[in-house]
Amino acid sequence: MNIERMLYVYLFICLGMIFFDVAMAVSFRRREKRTVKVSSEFRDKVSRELENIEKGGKVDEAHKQFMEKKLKKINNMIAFDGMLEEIFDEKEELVKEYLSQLESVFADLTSYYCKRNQLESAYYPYIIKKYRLIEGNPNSSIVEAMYRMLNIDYLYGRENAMQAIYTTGDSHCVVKAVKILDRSNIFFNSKLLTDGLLNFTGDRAELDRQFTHDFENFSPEMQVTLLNFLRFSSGDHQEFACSLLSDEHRDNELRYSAIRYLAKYPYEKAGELISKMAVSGSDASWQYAAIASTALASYPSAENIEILKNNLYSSNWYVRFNSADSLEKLGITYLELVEVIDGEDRYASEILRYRMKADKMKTDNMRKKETQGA
Amino acid sequence: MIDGIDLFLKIVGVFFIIYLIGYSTFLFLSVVVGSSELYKIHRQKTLQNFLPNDYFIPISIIVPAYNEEVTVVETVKSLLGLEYKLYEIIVVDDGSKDNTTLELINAFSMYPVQKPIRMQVDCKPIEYVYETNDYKVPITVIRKENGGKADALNMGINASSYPYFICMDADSVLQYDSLRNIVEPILTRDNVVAVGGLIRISNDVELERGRVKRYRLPKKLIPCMQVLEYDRSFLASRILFDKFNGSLIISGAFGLFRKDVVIDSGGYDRETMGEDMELVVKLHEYCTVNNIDYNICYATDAICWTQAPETLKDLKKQRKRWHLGLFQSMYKHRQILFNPKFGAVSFISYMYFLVYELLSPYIEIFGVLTMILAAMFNLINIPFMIMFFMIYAVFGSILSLTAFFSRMYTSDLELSVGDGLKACLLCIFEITILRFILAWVRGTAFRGYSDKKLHWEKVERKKINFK
Repeated sequence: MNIERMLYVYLFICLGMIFFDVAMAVSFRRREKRTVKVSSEFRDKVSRELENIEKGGKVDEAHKQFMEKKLKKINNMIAFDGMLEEIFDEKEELVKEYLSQLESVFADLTSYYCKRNQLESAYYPYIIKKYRLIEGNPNSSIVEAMYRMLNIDYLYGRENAMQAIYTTGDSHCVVKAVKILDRSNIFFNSKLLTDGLLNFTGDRAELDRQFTHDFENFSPEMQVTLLNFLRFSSGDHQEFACSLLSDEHRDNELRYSAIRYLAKYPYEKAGELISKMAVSGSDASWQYAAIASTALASYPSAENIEILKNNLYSSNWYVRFNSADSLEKLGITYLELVEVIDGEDRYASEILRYRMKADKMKTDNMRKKETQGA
Repeated sequence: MIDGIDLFLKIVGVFFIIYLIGYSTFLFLSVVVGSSELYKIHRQKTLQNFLPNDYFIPISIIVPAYNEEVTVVETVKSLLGLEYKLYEIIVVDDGSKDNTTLELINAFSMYPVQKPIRMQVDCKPIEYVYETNDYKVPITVIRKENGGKADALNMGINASSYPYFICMDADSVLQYDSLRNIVEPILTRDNVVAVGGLIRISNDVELERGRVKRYRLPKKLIPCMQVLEYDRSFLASRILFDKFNGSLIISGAFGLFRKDVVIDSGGYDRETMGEDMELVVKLHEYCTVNNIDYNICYATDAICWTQAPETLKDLKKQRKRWHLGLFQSMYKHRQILFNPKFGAVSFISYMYFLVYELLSPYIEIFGVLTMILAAMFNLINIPFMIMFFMIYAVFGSILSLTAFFSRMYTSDLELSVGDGLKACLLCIFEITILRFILAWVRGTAFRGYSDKKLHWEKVERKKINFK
């Protein structure tokens, strides 16, 4: 009968789970109703404070104490967020002023939220970011809390904290945050960081300058991320990229990134080095040849066109493909390539035909769109 | 002789006690873990725990197609509507006998190209390639000699431009946010080689631009019961296996893979019917043997809507195919069994699939035969047997319903009272009748085994209505 008892136990637990689901659904509904109620209470009180601010007054201390007490509860914070979202568009300036006067409240809430579970603590930097509570205030204690959150092993918490730090508009804060991430040894996808940095609305030139100045203080992986960011950020770092490319002791990935930078922002002094790297079969590995072949599209010269033509016979598929692509971008005509196209090397011929056809279709489509537009 | 039979039945009884305890415990654990995980994900969304910006990982979507002229154009149209920027669509027509390629060429004004394709994994030769760049993302259709679904997928891998690819079925619809959700694990961890999506049944669900406009259970009983079955399966085993990197299946209807690792491991096996499972098992084997740090995960909120077979005949065909594929995959990678190097993948995932999936139809049939034998010799307690069966049915039904309602509750879908009641009634039928029919189908899957090699499943297609 043991099996029977065991099944009864399972049955009982499963019924408990059904009950849990139903209870959760009911509690969810009740929570929604409660949120609406709390939200309405907040709206009344905040509206009074906004009126007061409009008249040139300050937020009442009793209101601050009330908010600090209330906002310790995560569900109240959700209600507060919902309420602010509704009034933000119509009273943006007033709300910003109100929130700036509430800075001490949020600063006090920081330690409280940092101690909560990962899910709830990640919500706090989201609020900081959303309402830009630390904009122009890099010395706030909230910023310190955001730094601490960068060390927690929870992606959303770290990402929200980074997003909040970007809103300070202070490049020193951002550089410090990137250093913390770099030293934390917790995986943080470079794409997240690059895209995040590109959203930084402060002094971008100063941020770039600090990154290049402090470059050696970052790990090789982070250096690649930073150079990728610089590639999308500005073309003012050609010399810097060229120096990285010239240094054979640098990490390969970093040098690939440097070639890509110099492909986007051509730099005369780098041309010769890139041409050498593009020569297939030289000391450079095929990755260098493939990436450099792409870069040569930005360095038009008779020698480089010859290198690219030769690369069409390379044993490496990527070198051939990228070279054909570059020849097409350089505007080399069918007549100039007839030897290859009609030659015996089927791979070289096929790849060129394809690129030229793709180019023709692109041009035809543009013409078609122009005609339709006219 | 009676003593001998009595001893035999006792041994069988002990075996079944162990077997059922194992199965019940597994189901119970997986439903508990699955429900908790769904609740956690729901809470995460409420608390804005998601990546807010547009982080686009480049993806190639590969759609293998065979005689899909009815659905393929709508499928590509739906793919063009996805809320994602950096992807390409590659349809591989595996030598269809209908106008699959022609329908695409006409619908999207495609032009012929001599596209150089780097053949990195084996597949049959190309006949011709068409492409267009006139839409949001590039669309390519490759017409090749017939070689089966795995062969078509390999061609898609060869032709793809991006480092990650998604395989999907030509009769499926990806939800508008599915790409964004399926790439999220890649942003979270640096060792992800594959991500499985959630497959949901689209029969009678109204979809508009990849969004659910109106959810309802299918009107027909067969697909309706499959809804319960899918929810149980996806909620149960897949989330639990995901917890210890033990997923052995990523559905062929929707999965994301890192291309270089798939190519290094040899791509899809063209000799296996269950190419989707085979690839995942192979990735486990390849990465473990080569000491590659890897993770195969499951994205519960990356949703693909697919058409379920509407007739018992089609369902039987599908399940036979799945069972044969399961056998082939497990047999081919049998070195995983009892191999400590593979850890939990060997001792939990592989064992589960071996005992409770591959061998279960035979064990269940053996159980029924034993009961008949016991009844013949009057060695069975009939009231106890009936009670046992009823407990089993109620237990299974509750698990199915827990999975079903957990999914409904956490995916913000509105379910009518009628559909709720329908689910409650059908789950008993699914557990007590459909399960045994399918056990029989799976048990007899090996009949005509050699003839089924490399054939595409012939299931009647209905035109998909996208608005």
